[in-house]
Amino acid sequence: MSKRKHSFLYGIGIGIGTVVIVSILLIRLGVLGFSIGSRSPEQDNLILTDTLDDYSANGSQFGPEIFYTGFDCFEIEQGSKTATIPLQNSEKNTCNMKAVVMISLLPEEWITIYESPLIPPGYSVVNCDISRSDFDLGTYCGKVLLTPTLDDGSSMLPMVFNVSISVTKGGVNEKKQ
Amino acid sequence: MRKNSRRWLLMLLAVVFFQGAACSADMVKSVELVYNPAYNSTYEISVPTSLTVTDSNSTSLTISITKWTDFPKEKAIIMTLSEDNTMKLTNSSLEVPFEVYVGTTQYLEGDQLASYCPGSVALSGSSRVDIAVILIKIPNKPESSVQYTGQLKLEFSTQ
Repeated sequence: MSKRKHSFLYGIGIGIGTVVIVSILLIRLGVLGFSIGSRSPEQDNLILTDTLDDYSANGSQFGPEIFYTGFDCFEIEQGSKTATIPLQNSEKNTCNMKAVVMISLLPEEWITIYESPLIPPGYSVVNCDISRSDFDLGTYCGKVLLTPTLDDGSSMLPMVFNVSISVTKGGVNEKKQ
Repeated sequence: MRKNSRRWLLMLLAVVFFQGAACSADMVKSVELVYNPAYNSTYEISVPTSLTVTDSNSTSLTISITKWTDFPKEKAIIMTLSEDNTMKLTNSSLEVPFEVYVGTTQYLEGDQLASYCPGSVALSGSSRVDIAVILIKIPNKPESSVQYTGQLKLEFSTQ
């Protein structure tokens, strides 16, 4: 009787152990929709960008290409600590992209207001938590530095995009710099 | 007396008629319509990851626009040679100056290298357009045969 009970308990133990191991494996593989240990792109305010169906890149004559997405302007709502900046890493890339956004409040003086996490290929940033919110209404010069970053942490040639940053209140931008 | 009253009546009618005509002219109001279209222009630039500079004059770097959205036909993408460029390839303390050409014209730091109006083709598109072929030249061959490396910094803006 005791032997039977012992083997029964042993069986239950093996069963529970198996369920726990399988669950851990499924979680690690992302099958259950969340991950443990590393941050998912969604946690970093990143969303998957629409896929392009017309892409056919086989690299240029000098090896693989890097695709940088530029834009010309974006708005910051006065007093807001978040901004919608169209930062994205093209799905055609095989490397991550890091973005740094700077604003010039005074001529020749640049202040970094946002540094993105590493943006995986095909992702874009949803809401950017900017470091300052005390801007006067107006239009300012901005720079967006996009730096391709490899898995080993090394970075490649940063590309600079000059943009205009509009600080508005209720969509109105009264004062011009 | 009767004649007078008839004249008065005609005058009264004339006044009423012209007053009415004047009133109806005043009733026509025009509303000025103003439309300033808003554009959220984005564009995609393709740049080779690296370039091996050779001693020949044909080391070239092609910069392409591969995609653009919401571009009015007057707006251009401007590419400039960044003022941050040192225009030198280095190996620790050794330096080799390099020169940048587009065609036969030499460009210096801060110079505009190329401009392109994607919207002159279509408001949005995804066909590849080479906007500049940059030639990199080493004017003087260095004495030391070590490998020299450096960066060519480009800036993009719209106008």
